[in-house]
Amino acid sequence: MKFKWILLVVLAIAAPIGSLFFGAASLSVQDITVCLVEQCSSVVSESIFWDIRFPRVMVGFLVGSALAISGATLQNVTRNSLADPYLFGVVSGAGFGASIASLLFANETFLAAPIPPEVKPFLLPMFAFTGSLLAVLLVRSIASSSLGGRIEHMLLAGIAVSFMLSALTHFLLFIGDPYATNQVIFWLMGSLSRVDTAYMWGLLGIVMICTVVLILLGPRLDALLLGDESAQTLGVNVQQLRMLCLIVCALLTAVVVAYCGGIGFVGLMIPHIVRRWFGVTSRRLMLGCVLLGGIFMVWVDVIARAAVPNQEIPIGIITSAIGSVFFLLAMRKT
Amino acid sequence: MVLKPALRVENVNYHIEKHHILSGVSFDVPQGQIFGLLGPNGAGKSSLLNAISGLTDFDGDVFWRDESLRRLSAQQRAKQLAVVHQTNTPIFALTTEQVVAMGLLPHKSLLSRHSRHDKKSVSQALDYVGLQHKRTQAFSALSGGEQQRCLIARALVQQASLLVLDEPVNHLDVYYQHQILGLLKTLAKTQGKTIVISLHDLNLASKYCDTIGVLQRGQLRAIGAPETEITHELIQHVFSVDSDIRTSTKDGRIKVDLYPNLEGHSSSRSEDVLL
Repeated sequence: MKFKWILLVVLAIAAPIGSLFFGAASLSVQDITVCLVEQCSSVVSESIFWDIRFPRVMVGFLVGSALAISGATLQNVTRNSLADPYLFGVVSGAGFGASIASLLFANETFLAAPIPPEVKPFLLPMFAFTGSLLAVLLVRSIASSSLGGRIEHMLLAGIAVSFMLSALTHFLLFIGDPYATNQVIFWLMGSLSRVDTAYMWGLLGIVMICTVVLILLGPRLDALLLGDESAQTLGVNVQQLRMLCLIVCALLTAVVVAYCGGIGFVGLMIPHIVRRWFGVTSRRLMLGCVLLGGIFMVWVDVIARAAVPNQEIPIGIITSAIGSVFFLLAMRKT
Repeated sequence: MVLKPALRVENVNYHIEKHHILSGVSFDVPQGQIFGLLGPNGAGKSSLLNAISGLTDFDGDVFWRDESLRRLSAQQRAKQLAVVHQTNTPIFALTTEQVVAMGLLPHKSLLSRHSRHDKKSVSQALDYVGLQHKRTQAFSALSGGEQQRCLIARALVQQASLLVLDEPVNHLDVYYQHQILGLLKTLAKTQGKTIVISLHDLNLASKYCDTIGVLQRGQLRAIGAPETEITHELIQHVFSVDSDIRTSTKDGRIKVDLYPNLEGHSSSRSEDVLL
């Protein structure tokens, strides 16, 4: 077991460093090594390395970690092995927000509005973020007001809200401006091309805080696995714990989805692999997810950037395509 | 000698909408004794145990060593009272040892980790219930009796002096029924644990319980020693079953033979119709 952990940590350090050597711009191995250990050889390579490639690799790692720990947490708190960050309407909410934004951007009155140019790039993510938070609140209120607040009801409400918002999104895309529609569709398929240094630091802060919170709550999350009543008799305030975990997961997913779009399957797949390799208790699970989720996403992004020359494949396509095969192989009975 | 009560259940009432589940239930249990709760299906046994365990809201109060359990936080209560009931099978493969170690939770803050002493107490509890050799096996792979023993070990690690068990021997074969109840009897006698347990089998209640309470339609119909309370009339009245009661020459406990009259058995008992 110790060996497995050491291997995972070594890979988690090596994978991002290794992936820095891949990218659209032609930086030589020597350029990159020099950038990493000393000062970059030219202003251009410094800018490419530190402003584009480094944040992108770091964000890739953090996005993988964030999606994996939210998936793990949701599977534990809902006691449902198919739970996934996308189940609570977070992605469809974000998609809906992004579609509204795209319609607005194509509207001439809106384009003529006096919006400072530096705010414009943030508008789509802001709309998406608002959409995803509203979706989670909607799921929560439907589940507690009209369905009785049981966790199964929350899952049902999540699925219903997801479908409802997806339908609205598709309708908006259908009636929308073709150029804006294309943009939204590409965004929905997931991409790390939008990221920058400021987002990297923001995401780093959020992922670190959420990971610490979830690791501290680990033993309480384990107690939930034997049922709500069992956890309650062990002194766990089940309702409070579940609400806190849902907020943490919604925050993690919404921040990721707002900037990087729909990156599917990571939140479902990574926790199952970690449980299989490192055990099911929550503290191990969270640590394993942070590391393995990060490693996986960094290399998926390398494929997204390097598989087709001069073109970028949406990352969501690759996570789902590679993920499903990798998942089936990893879950094979040995 | 009158023993000072450790657990005092005072006038517990519980209803769902207009339907009364428990009406004015009161009883005491002295420390180190086993209190057996009997009664037909739907009589309110589980609701009463849930009320004692703090799992449902109710009117009335439950005192443990003169302190109201209702006024304690969930964590404080978990230090005093451990509950063993039918659990969900965990969807992920927790080991027997990990389930037992959950008993440490009420004594831990968010930051603390398991100490060497904690590991020792988990190991001792596993020894006590005879599951040491299965500690790395998945909890879900244990037999019904082993799962009950595992949960009893968790209650031991929890260090609670009041144990509440909801039908712990249901679905178990005769051997495991006696093994589990024998284990509880030893815990009561050697460690002074006070135990409240719901049972269906009158003979097991008579053999292992110091006191029994018989619930019918949410009210206590009888309370006292099994040999005085379990009578032909009571069984007829509460369970609608004919019986023959004798005292065993082996252990001096009463034995009940039941002769249910199942003619036209598609009809229900009077209380089933009412409930």
